[in-house]
Amino acid sequence: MEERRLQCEFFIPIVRNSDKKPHQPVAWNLLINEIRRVFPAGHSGPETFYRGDALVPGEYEESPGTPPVADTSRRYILAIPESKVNDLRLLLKMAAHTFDQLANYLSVAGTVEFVIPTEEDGYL
Amino acid sequence: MAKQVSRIYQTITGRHIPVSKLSRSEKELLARVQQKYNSRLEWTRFAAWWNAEFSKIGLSTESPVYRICQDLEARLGIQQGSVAPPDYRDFLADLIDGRFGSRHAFCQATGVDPGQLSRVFAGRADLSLRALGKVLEVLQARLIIQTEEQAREQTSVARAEEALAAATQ
Repeated sequence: MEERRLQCEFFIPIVRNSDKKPHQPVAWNLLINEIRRVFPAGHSGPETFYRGDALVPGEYEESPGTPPVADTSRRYILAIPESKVNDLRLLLKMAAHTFDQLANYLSVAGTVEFVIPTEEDGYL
Repeated sequence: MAKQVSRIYQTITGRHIPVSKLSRSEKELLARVQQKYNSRLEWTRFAAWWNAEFSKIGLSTESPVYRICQDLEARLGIQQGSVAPPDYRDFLADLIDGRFGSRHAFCQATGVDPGQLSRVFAGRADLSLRALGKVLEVLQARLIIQTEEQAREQTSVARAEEALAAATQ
């Protein structure tokens, strides 16, 4: 029997955190290459990954009590086996470094968490 | 006898991708990609579309069509102001991919620190001119300076449309 899949949704802001400049093409290529490597889609059966249909507006607080900062992110949705959710967390930690983010928003079957990288997590 | 012309697609970083020997399914996908691309979709919508099509067909990411689609996506993103134009990092990444297949293989062959290379690709560090010179020597490449206008022309959406038209003839 096939393992239960969970819908995971995450957002990657389209600008770097430090200088608010857009990312280089290589960063987006590295992300999608890594997603396809870690979660290869089968040739048949349910599609394992669906890439965001549009840019998503949002906002975040840089620190508690400060006014929210508006931003725009790219949304990704993956339907992955439950046992591979941690692989996604590891991928998002590396993505946080590559995309110059302090944390990445991740929703696993509706439960939201922020994936915060450490220096040891490396890059995509 | 007519001489067979080798057709190529040139990426925003100047990489030549041969498209003369595509399989039937690759050609069919590329024709659909061309049609979609010409309608100048919003950058991420185009990305969502081609990724879904690619997965549906079950082609390998080694397919030249995969790299072409990534390139087209980048061109749209650059044109729409959501992606930065390529800088030396993108050129390096493409050269490494083309010559060595992976960053790991490149670092093993050259002794370049993989962590440092990752930081460079992430825009968190730069290579010194000396280090860059060494890397370029291994990659058999050279540093050139181009004007903004030349760079815009190289990444233009229209140029890719022409290359796609030629590739899918």
